[in-house]
Amino acid sequence: MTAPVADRIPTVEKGEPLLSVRDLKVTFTQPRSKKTSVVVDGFNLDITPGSSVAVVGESGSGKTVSMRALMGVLPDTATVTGSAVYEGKELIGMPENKLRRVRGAGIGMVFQNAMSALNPTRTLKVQLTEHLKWHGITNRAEATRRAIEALDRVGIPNPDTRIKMYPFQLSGGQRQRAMIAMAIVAGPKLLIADEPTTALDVTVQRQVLDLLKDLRRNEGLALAMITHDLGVAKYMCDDVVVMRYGEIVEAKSMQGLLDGAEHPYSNQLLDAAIDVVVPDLTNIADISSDAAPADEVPETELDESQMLVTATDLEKIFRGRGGEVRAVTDVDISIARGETVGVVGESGSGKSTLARLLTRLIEPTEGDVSFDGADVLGLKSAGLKAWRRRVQMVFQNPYSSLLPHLTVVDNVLEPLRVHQVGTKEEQYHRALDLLSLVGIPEDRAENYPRQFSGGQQQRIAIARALSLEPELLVCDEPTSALDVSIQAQVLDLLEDLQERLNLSMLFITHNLAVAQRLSDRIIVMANGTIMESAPTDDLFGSPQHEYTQSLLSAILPIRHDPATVDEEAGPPRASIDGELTEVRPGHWVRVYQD
Amino acid sequence: MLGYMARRLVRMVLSLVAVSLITFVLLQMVPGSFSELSNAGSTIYGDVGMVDGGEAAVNQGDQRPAWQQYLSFMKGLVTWDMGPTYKYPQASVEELIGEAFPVSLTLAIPATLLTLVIAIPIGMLAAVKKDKLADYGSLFTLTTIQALPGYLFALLLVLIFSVGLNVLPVRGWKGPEYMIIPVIALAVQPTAVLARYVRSSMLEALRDEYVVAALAKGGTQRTVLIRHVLRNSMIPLVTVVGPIFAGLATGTVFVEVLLGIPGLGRLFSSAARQRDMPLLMGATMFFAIILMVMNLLVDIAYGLLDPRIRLEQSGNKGSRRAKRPGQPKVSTGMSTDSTETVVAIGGTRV
Repeated sequence: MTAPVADRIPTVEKGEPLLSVRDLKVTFTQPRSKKTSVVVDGFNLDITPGSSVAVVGESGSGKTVSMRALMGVLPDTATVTGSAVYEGKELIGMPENKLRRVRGAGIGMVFQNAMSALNPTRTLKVQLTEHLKWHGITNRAEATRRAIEALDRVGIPNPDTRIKMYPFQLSGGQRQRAMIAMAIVAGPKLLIADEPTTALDVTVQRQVLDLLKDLRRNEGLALAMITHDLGVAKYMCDDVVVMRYGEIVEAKSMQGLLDGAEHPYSNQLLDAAIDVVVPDLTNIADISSDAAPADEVPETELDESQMLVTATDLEKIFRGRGGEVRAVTDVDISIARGETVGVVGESGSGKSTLARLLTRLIEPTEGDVSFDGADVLGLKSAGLKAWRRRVQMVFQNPYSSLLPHLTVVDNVLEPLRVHQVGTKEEQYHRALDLLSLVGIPEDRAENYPRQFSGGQQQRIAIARALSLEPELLVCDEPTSALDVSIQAQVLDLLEDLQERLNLSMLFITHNLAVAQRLSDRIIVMANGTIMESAPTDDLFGSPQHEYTQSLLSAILPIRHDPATVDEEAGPPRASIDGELTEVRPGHWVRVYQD
Repeated sequence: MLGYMARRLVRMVLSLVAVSLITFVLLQMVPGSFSELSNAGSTIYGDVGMVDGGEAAVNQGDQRPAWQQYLSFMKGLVTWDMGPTYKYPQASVEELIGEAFPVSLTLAIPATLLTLVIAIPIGMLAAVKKDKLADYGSLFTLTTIQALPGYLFALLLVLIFSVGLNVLPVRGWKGPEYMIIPVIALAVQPTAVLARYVRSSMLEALRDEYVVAALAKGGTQRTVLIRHVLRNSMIPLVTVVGPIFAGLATGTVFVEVLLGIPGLGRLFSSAARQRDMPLLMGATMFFAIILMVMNLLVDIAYGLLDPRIRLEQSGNKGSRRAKRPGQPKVSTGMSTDSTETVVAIGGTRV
């Protein structure tokens, strides 16, 4: 740190700060070894009433710890020094009984995952009213009335009946809203939101962020928002603080950061973030209405021999005690040699099931899969094993998909061992080559998976998938567990490998921006079936399906404006009836008759 | 809820049949029968000579084909009329069990209560003071106690209070003062088990984010601990307390034999030594029934304490997400991810 402290404080002259933090330092002491580690050092922050600051950084940068330190809710092993003045009162070192008055009543907190931040065995009523009584704000009857009103303010329908429910009875978005209601019901002036939308689907994320914006506007709440997503930070906040390794590397206005970040790390974050140009959704030519029905369109299908994988009429029904779940319905998909197909959808859209059907990790209820012109579903023992060599997979969570008891080189040569490719010596050297291909140095080959970072683990998993020189690589959310700068590295690696090895790739993701980066063609799925399928440029240039448009409008770009959303409009129509129709060569849309 | 209970009852009956079959077959395979032992007269197993009329019982009993013995026993069980035992022809099986069970029960109830009263505060203290002296100390003591056999404490208590201080009777079953040593002796080990369980269950609940959320709302440590942590961490304890009580109520052989208490444990051990088949089968089935009833009560209690389980039991939607919270996570050694990975590589699933 070279710049003096005062220079790094956001220079906002908006009157007396509501909260002013200086030289905050948090040290953790290990109870057994007494080893200490400094997690946050020299943290400064000013928040004026009604303003908004984003605290941006990657995992382990100390964003959450610094915020929890202000509130005094860190475990006993943490030592907090420095100063944090809220409305003229020093919070650090304040006796517990006084600090409690600030928590909840003065500063409210919103967490990343409402499922764990709400007590599963208590009703919303208990959890929304208990602190009103703790703080002596109201009596019992009045507290319930206030809680219902808070639920109403955060947009939960029928709040007077919902308040009697348990958290698990609400949908993910509603749970998050209920948690926000819990944070604001006691009337705080500052809201600390810790990645409040990271666990949500993109379309729900936009709704919850808009809710937080409304609360700021209507109630004059100040907001300190922890996020790893610069798009979210830009959408929500005026000022930004960039953290790394527990220190602030840059603090300025959001626009100032975008116009000219000074610190190399800020620039690195900005570069790593994948930006998207969202089309003007209010002005999209509807080409579906004048399209001829599918059977009259001249066949534009590629030559069958070019197709590596073709699946037709795929259907998967999971049967369990709760009845049937149609995970995948009526899906046709084909991937040409050397082509990358992105499959995009929200949770529950059936995209992962599709990946598992194509790799025969699960068997379809209906439909056919053929690979290189030959049937896949009929394959047995030896034939199946030989086919598996040609199709490999990369999973979302690299740590749990690597075998923890094997060194990384053994992990990478495991497929070679299973298929008895080459001698032991050759297998070992091939594995080392692959590791160096994905940037893992030879001297670390004998380390175990847990000794690597998340990004390195995913690169090792990719090396393993490549060891058999597959023709098709299926990646199921390979970057969604990774930090942004590492995500960029992994995507670069995949892109590079795909070109060099002429792989076909099926790339499953919930993130349209990631899909755009890699895919030649994108398939949008919802409710277990295809809503729209088009070459990437077509899809982004002229999205036809209502659902695709809603996904696109949920994107929060960094350097451009997000799409305007009609807040009165209901959820997009994504029903599975209707006919998948080719509206332009290669651009298929589900068209509804009425 | 009614449908759930009906399903449970059917399953209970099926398991009881299975238990009876397995027990009966195993007992048939054990060398030696009541007749052989009684013909041999006094043996190292004690005097197995018959009281008057024993001859008749034997003739109807273990000389018959095995399947006949089994069927007549099952008939007796269903009608709760299991007939005379071999050893005591004047007394029926159900009478003997009926006499011994209340004795075991009068020990089991105070012993279980004692366990709860001591184990929960110790476990809580250890959890809240994790990695402090109180935690280390209690954990060390509990682990040591758990590793020692239960009857050792009975002997120790007898040595101190009966032999040394001469304030309590050594053995027998004649009045309330005879209960003190066995109740304490019975409670020692379950206390150690339960306290360790309370500790880990509390620690798990303390790690949950709703604890931070409740603190951030302005709750005191104490309020949050009682309103959120304690309640949630007690839910999984029900599953441990149920079997502990069932185990004590069906008698503990060592303590009962050692202290001369006419409970189920002693009854069972003498029946086993003498190969008294009707009594052995009767006692085993009785144990099985008690255990299953306890498990049923545990599940009902679970539903009352945890809304997620309650809604699942009543067949409500949202049950797919229901999971017993705080249950120690069972590791299958391999996550599904790595299993799928191995299959995707080309390995076989097994």
